[in-house]
Amino acid sequence: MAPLSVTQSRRAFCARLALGALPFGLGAEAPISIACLSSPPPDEAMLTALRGALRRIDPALLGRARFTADFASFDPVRLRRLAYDLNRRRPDLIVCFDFDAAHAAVATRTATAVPVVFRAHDDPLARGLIASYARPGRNVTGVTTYRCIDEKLVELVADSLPAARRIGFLHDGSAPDGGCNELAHRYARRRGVTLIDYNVTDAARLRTVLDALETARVDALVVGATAATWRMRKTIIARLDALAIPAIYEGKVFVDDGGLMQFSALPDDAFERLARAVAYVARHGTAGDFPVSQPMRFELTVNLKAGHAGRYGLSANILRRADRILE
Amino acid sequence: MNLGNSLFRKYLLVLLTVVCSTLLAASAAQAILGARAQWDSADALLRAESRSAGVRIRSFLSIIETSMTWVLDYDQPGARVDLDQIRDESHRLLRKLPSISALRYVDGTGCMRLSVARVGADRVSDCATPHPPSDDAALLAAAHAHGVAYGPVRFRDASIPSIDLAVVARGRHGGVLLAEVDLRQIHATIIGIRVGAAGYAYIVDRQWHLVAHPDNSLVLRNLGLGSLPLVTGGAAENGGRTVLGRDLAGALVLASSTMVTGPDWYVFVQLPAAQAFSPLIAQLVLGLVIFVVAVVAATTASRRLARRMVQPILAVQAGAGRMAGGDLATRIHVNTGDEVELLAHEFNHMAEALSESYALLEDKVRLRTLELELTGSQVRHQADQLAALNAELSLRLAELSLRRDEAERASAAKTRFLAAASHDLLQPLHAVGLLVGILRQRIRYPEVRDLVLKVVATVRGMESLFGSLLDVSKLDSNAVKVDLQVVDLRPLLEFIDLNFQPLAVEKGIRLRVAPCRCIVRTDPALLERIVANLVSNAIRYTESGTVLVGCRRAGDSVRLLVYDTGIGIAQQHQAQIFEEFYQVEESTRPRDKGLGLGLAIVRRTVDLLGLTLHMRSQPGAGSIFGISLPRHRHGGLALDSPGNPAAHHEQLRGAFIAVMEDDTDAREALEQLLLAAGCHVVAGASLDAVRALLGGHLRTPDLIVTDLRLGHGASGIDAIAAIRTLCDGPVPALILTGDARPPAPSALPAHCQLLRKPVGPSRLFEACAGLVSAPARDETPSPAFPPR
Repeated sequence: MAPLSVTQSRRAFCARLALGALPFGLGAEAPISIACLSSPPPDEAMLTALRGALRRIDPALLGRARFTADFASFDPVRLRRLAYDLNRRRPDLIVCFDFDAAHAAVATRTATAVPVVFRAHDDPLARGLIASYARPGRNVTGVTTYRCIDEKLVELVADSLPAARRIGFLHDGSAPDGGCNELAHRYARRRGVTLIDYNVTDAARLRTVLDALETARVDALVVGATAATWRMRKTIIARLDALAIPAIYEGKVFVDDGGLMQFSALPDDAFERLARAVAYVARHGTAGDFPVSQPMRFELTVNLKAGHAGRYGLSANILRRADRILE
Repeated sequence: MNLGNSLFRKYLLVLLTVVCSTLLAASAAQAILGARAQWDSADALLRAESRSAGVRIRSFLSIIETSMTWVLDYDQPGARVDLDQIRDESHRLLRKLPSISALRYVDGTGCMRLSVARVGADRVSDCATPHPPSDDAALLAAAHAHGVAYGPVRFRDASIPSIDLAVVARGRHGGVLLAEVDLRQIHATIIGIRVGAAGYAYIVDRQWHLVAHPDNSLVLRNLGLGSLPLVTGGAAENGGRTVLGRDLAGALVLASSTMVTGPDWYVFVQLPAAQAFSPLIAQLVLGLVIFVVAVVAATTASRRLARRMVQPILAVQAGAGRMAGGDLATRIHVNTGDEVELLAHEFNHMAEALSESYALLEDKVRLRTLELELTGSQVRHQADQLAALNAELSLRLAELSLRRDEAERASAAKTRFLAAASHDLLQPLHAVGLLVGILRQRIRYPEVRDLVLKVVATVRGMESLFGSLLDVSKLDSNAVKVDLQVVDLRPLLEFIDLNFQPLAVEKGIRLRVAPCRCIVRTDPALLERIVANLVSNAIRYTESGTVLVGCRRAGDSVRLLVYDTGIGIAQQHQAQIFEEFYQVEESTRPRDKGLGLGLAIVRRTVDLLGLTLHMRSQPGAGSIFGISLPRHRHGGLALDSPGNPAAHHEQLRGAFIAVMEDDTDAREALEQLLLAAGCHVVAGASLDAVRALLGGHLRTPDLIVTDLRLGHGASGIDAIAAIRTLCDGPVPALILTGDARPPAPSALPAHCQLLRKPVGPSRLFEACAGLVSAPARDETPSPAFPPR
């Protein structure tokens, strides 16, 4: 009987050990598949920024996260195709780094909606992507860096160059902006400035505009953040430098690439808010009740290292107001 | 015995209960005190933290207020408002304080002169057409009243909270600077307020809107906490006391609040209850562990202690058990020095005493056993002897039984013989007696008369002899039935005198019968026979002298005596004279004096009646025989006495009598006797013969005389019935029989009388006269035993 007792005890011990280990095995959280979708060509910068923010906010989630990234290279058809495939693959959530990607992901949903978290520089409420900022619904949430700053951009460029009377405005006129451009026009009229709109819906249109600037006789230019201007920012900067047209850009990336001035929401804050949304959706499985956050911090940057910066005669007022001056 | 209630278990339970209850009470008290202390500690901590958070929020707002005064430096009393400077300062303020999203300056006239926004275009107004901003009127009024005023919290795009803050410039008619504060910027301040590991702070305005929270997404949802009791009724209204409740996530928390002056917000600081009471929980867990350990230790100690307490008792119990089982040599060893040891000693003493008593008892038992064995051997020896005697007795009894059977067979043979003889011999003797009687009536010659008289005497002797034999036979066969009556001795003695006087005279002796008036209760026929035999015997053995018969009262009895002066009986013969056929062989005794049956009949008859017979005799002097009779004191008596033969003849003269007798001699004798008595007689051997004879007569018979057995199986009783049927009337009937066992009187038909053969002429005439003269009666007269 003794060997049998030993065997039974050993078996019981192993069973208890297995049962004791079971909770750890079951408790080990399953990996979370996060599919990233972008309209631009492959660029790991945004994903890297998201990882960084996620690491600060929820490192445990980052450990579980399994990222995939798809880039449409500004091909709308490819974008929709990628969005469709993503929905069929049914990841735990889809992160879209721009509005078009978010729109494509929502538009190509199958029967069961995969939660979508977006980062956009558009007004998602005005463009119909969400129901409200507080409760976006449709299993969609995200962050937007968009604020209606067209009027502010005009003011800043006007204050920077008090002599400027003709100011051109590059923007995507095809996207609904909630009357933001109209506010800018009204403000320009009050300031006695002529605001000339240049509708740049795509790169070709942008090139045409850029070619036309030589003869447009604009004193300054406001470059809004559109897909085309973002993609062709260096071309724009180079062209404006060549034409010696001072410009204020809507995006820090323009100044980083040599632009003269920029006024926009801080991108770092946007990725942090995006990471919070991703963490929430990943843990709760739903996105519709998580509010869409709007930019909170804005920055006016003056790049005195930009071409012809010294010749433009920027006003002292703008230099006092600048949050950051690159010298 | 219910071992579940053993002493050990009781001790164990009591000790465990005491120890565990003590530990439990101590742990509970410690837990209560700990909880109270922990609550006080958490309360103090949360209240301090809430006050600290309030200060920090206040500080956040104060910085803005202070910064705004810088802008208003350009609105000095008595000086012109420098809007450009105000604008520049406003921009600087926006750059310095990111929480301010817009600034507006309203001059002393109520005109909004300047608006500077972070994302909107600046606006400067010359107030050509001044109009006060109606939306801000209340805020401006409050600002003018208090210097600083806060508007309500608003949510831009229904999501982003903000508040308007108004600061009044110095001077009586100074302007007001309005700042729109983006309350999301408080987030940095809020998340900097940490309480413990998981505690945090949040802000609620007076409309219970969540203004600031570490989770900014909750703020952006524009949540109203009006339905949260923790917020509405709990912390905010009770002066900052710590309360326990559920938070937004439903978790149990401790919360305390402080009001932020200015905007009148409530800053809540909350701490998860689990964390707040973690020291208490840890203390409870530790207390539980200690309790468990203490219980285990107490159980072990209690078990050991109980065992130590019970062990001596169990030893005493085991020892007592062994003693009860008979092991008196066992001893209980307990060295506890207490009452249990004394008890063990007492048990040991008891065992010793029991052992001694047991040994003594065993000796006594052994001794008694030896005695019993000895007695038993004697009893067995005696039993053997008894068995031998019993065997011998059984043998003797068997022999006796054999002898008795032989005697009984002999007696039965004798009885059968006598019965046969009584019928077969009495029948001719009966006929001879009747014939001799006829012959005696017809003698004409003297010389013949003497011969006939001798024949008569001989016949009488034969009748007497046969009568005695039959009497003995009937007595031995228990055929005689006793009929007790009240008997007057006087007529009986007169009858004796009458019957035996002739015999005494003939023998030349004197028979004297003394008159007696005594009345006794006995069977008169049997008594008559006893007395007759005694008198007959006395006369027979008395040659000279006197035979005296009389009676004497003796208390309740009457002694009837027969005295004679005869030859007497020797002493050696006195015991045998009552045996049948015993005769004393003496020369003095006559040789021809009977068969020796008289006294045998007397003895049997006396025994049958239950009387006492006395005898005294002396050879040569005579004998005295006495019978003690029960005396009857009351009542009258009725005795049948023999009638006068002459009167009987007179009564029978002319009577018509039918006689049925199968024996020819007896029938002819009967016919002749009845004819001689003057009767008219028809006689036949059978019923048919008599019936034929009666057919020739017109007269119905006055009497039927018939034998009981008519031959060929015919019955006299049946013949009587037939003749009565023929005559259509109850003709009286006389039945004669020689059977030793005649039918019972109750078996006889009505008006019938039965006489035993032999029947003498006188007895016959008497019976016939009685039946003929008696009127027809419904009842059969009681037949008396026929005396001879």
